[in-house]
Amino acid sequence: MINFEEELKKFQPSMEVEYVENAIYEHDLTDMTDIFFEFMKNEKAAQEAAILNASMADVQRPM
Amino acid sequence: MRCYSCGNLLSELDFCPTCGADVRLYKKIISASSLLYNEGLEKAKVRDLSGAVNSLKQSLKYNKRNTDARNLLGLVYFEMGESVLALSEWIISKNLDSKKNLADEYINLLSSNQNELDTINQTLKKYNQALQYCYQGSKDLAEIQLKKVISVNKNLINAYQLLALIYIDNRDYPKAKRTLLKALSIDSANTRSRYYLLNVESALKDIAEHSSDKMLKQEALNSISYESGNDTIINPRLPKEKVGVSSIVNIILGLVVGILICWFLILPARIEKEVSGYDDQYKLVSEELAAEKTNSQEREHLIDQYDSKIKELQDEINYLKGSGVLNENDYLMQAANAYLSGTDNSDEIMDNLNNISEDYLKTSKESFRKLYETLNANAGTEAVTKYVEDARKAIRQNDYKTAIDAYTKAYSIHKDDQSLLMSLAHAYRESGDTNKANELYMEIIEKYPDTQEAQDAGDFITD
Repeated sequence: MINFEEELKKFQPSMEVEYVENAIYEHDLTDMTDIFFEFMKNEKAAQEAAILNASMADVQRPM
Repeated sequence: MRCYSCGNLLSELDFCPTCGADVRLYKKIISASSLLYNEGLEKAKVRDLSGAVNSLKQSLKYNKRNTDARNLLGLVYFEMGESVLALSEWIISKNLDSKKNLADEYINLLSSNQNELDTINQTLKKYNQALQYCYQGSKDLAEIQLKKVISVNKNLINAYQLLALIYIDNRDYPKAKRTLLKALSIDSANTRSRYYLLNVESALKDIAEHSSDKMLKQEALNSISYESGNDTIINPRLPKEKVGVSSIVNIILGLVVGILICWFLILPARIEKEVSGYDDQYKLVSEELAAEKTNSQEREHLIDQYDSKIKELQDEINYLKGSGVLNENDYLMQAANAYLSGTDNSDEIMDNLNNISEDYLKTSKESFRKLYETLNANAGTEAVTKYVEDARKAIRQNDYKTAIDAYTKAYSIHKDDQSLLMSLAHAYRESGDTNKANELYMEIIEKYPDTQEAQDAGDFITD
């Protein structure tokens, strides 16, 4: 059987017009593409770092 | 689809043909977003609004720049009664993609009608207030508020669900069921609504089977739905008309009340109106009658006048026509005739003229009077002489009666002749009528006081 109190907790207040502005500002618009871009950026940075390290190692090896 | 790095169009390859960027994962993310958008659209078409919301939110989690998904999400929110959430999604959509965006139209639609926006805002405030009442335990107040909200914002699903929850808590399962069915008509696959409905139907079934209260049982039976194959059949809640003795009694009671109302309220007013109408008529008739009576009296008076006039005229006509008796005109004609005949008819002339009274003369025509005076003047003197001779002759014969007649006729012609009066008086005295004689003597004395006749008359007066 339904428990009134428990079910009541699941109800959230509706947003009123006065709070739209704040809600929009606070809206988290981060999506998968943003994560992907971040990942790609990190990946690219990591690759560049690896290339740099490899070239440095070549320079230090005795002939 | 465009490359995330250089912005050029991508091909079916897993890297960008322009900059060579690895787009394999990127393509998958975008595809997933599109897929979820399509899913959300399909769900929205069959009114699975809550399912559509979930799909579209997922779609936006993959790609926030999926304008179509965001606009559709706003529409779905709007259909669910959450107008402010819808507005926020459209505003975000417009900001992320400002070129040729449907969100512009939706925002203009809402913001152009400020009154409607205010009304919607009020309903949302009331819903929040009802929620507060529920937290505080004032379910009655919450119920009232929610009913007001639903009457204005007919699509606010949360309001229906909260109201249904209150009804369930109050064990008013038929009402709860009706409310949930309304919510499901807006959002057909809403999990919460379906969950509540399941519980309500279970409770109703329980009541229908085990309850001792007949009314409650009947209501529960009317509200129950049952499964028939793939269909869910819900018994329509038809209010049954109670036929029987009570309805007949009610009809009779209604008739009695109606008759009493007519008798005590409507009828007296009507009667009074009619009576006042009759009074007016009576008054009118009385006035007419009085006027008629007056007219009748006047007419009678006129008739009397005319009758007397007619009588007068008739008499005149008779007089003029002649009734066998000689009238004044005849006497005058006879007198004129006697005069014209030329013979010595002065006494005849005077006899005729003497028959015409002085009163008639006064009222007669002038021509009549002139003829009378002419005849009287011409024949009068001769007549007097003749009358005097006759009188003397009669005295000599001791015929005093004849003498008196003659002297009277003579005096009537010459009224100023005191000797004639004296002779008349003597005649009366000689005849033995001393009273008359004395009377005449006195007349002489009065009329002709300083004359010889007056002196003589005084001597002749006897006691």
